[in-house]
Amino acid sequence: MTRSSKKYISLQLSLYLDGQLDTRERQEIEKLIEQNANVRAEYEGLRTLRTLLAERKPLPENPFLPEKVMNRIRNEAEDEDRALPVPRRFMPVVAGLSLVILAAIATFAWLQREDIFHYVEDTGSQMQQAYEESGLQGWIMPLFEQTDRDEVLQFAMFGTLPLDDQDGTVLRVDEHADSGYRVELARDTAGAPRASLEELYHQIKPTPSQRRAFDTLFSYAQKQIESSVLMNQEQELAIDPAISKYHKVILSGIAASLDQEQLVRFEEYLSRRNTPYTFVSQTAKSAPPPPPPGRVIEHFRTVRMPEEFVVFTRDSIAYARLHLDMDSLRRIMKVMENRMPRFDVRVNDLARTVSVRGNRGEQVLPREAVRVMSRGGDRGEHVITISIQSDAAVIREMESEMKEMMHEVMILKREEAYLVQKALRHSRPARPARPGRSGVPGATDSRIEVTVNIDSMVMHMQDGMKQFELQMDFEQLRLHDGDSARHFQWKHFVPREEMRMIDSLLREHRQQFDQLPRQLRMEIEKDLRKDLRDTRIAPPEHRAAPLPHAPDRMVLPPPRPAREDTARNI
Amino acid sequence: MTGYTAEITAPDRTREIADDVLVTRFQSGDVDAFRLLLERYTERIRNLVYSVLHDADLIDDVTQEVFIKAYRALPRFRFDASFYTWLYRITINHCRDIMRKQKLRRSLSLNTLLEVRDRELTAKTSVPPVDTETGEWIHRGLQKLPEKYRTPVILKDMEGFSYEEMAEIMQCELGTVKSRLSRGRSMLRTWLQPILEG
Repeated sequence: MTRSSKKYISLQLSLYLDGQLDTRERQEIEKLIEQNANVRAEYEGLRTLRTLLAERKPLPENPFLPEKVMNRIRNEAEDEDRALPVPRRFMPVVAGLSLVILAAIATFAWLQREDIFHYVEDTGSQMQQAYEESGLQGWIMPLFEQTDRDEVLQFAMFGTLPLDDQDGTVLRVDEHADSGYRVELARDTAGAPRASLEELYHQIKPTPSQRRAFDTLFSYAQKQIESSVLMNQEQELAIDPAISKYHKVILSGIAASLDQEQLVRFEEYLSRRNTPYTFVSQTAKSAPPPPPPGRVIEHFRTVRMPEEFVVFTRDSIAYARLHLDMDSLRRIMKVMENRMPRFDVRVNDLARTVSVRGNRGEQVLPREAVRVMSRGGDRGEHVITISIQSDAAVIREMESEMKEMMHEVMILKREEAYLVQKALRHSRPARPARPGRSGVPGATDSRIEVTVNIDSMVMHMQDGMKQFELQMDFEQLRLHDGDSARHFQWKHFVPREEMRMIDSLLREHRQQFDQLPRQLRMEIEKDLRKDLRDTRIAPPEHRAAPLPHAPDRMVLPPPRPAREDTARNI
Repeated sequence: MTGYTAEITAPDRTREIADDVLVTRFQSGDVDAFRLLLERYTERIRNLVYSVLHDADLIDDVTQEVFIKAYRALPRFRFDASFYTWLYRITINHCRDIMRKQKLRRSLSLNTLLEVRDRELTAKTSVPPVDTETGEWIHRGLQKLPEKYRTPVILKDMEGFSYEEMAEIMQCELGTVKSRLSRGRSMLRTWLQPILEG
């Protein structure tokens, strides 16, 4: 920039305007302004501009802004405090302690590094080996990853899980009465009616606390279903045979958390939808004592990860152990979201291949009780059936799990009873308790809505209230409706057909039967059911034969004449 | 008897305490000291924000954000500069960030461009910061300047800062301040020539 350039002159004019030039420079620029009209015009223009800029009028004031800023600062500070796990004043202490602990862990890890490396290495290779030994290769994904709650209810009511809506392929589980359980992957030719949770709620009208209990139950079921059926890259399928019991567990869970009136409506609902099961009751007094609180929490919070699977490959069927980490599977699925395979196509293809290649009618797995068959269906489709025949261990496991689930729901109910009792203490004058009984008398006509959910139950357990509540005897539970034997009962699911058979057997003697004491009636019913089961033990050739295709309901053989004698003897 | 009225006004207590004293008090845990600083500078910052961004919708939000930033950073203030130049620096930097975002948005979407244009138009018609047509022309002229030339013009001719203070606020050399101010003034004079000569 030379001294005569336009830029230099503009700069000098600007500095002159602000009084930033020394004497010599000032004289030079003043001389230039005087002599050069353009420079003079520029100078005048700059001076006018500066005056105009300085004269600009300020914005109208906003007197509320400082208060707004202070409010925002206060709110942010409160939010930050709330987000802190400990009060702010203790943060330096906590930070210091954390550092010390971290340093201790790091030191320990460093000293034990050899052992840790070995452990990680061993565990990883064990898992890999277990997976490979199971005959599965490549990635493995759950088949029912996003089961919605309506589908879970559908599963609970009819034992079917839709695999492909278009093709109508479903996974169907069924209790085959006397001979165990069955899992089928087939086209749903019968087309079981669709169940909806909204419709069920409309029917049973659950309280908010019941809804929350159902939420937990359904969420538990969704996770369990998700981890029970898996397929891998090579179109190999792994099914947890225990899936055959979950639908009953879910129904039991629903039933056990309903009151008497709702139970009637629930049964009506099941009957109207023609579900294959109904339920009978058993008094609470005959039930085992409730599990300890810690176990209840654990059961609700953790989902049992199946380990033993029936694995189908294109040319083999095996009973295998799989160690799977569902959390990492979900992460992988998230990554593969857009590249997920069509499971339905793969399953149909697998069923077809097994059927064509095998054509063996059935294959008995190393574990005797499990029998796997593949065959052609009525409409030319291929069906895989896993029949878990007379597997006493599985049945016992199912029964104990159902009872455990009902215990938990019972505890919820007692929690509710306890809170009602507390509420009544405040709303009614206390009456002297009778010696040896701690129940609240005279409250049978009261209806107080008490919100109880599992989280609150856990909280109560934590602060010791639960221990007290668990010690309440069943007499206290009369609080609800005055009849503990009727209200607090285990729901035990039995095939509807079985109930009908008993009814028909008793028809002639109904009046006489109804007059018997309740306990005796129940014992007679129990014996009748046992007799009925005994009559249905099929000959070996019948059990080995392929199962009928996709029955929606169990068809029981007619009772033998001898059983009628039993009925007449009542 | 001739009556008279005496108007008693409360002394402006905020003016009595120097910025540095208030900052020290705030750093010792007196949050009220920050309120005094806030009350003292709110309007100045609002006007600066309007001059830089020329968007009436943004004035109060941006001012709030500036003071929130200042509140968070003030515990670390080391008195290397005066409080108000420091506060102006935060404001200018924050406005720069906003302009960068706006520019990005404009380049990404035609709709946003139209939105911004509409908003600017609304701002121009709904908020009369100056009551003359000349004032409006000046603001429009300022908006035409690139940010690096606009800021020194605003700081010098509208806010009355010295060159040294401007260098501090703009975080650049004194020579850069001088040349940018000169360039900005020249550009603005060219744009406003019809008015200046009229």
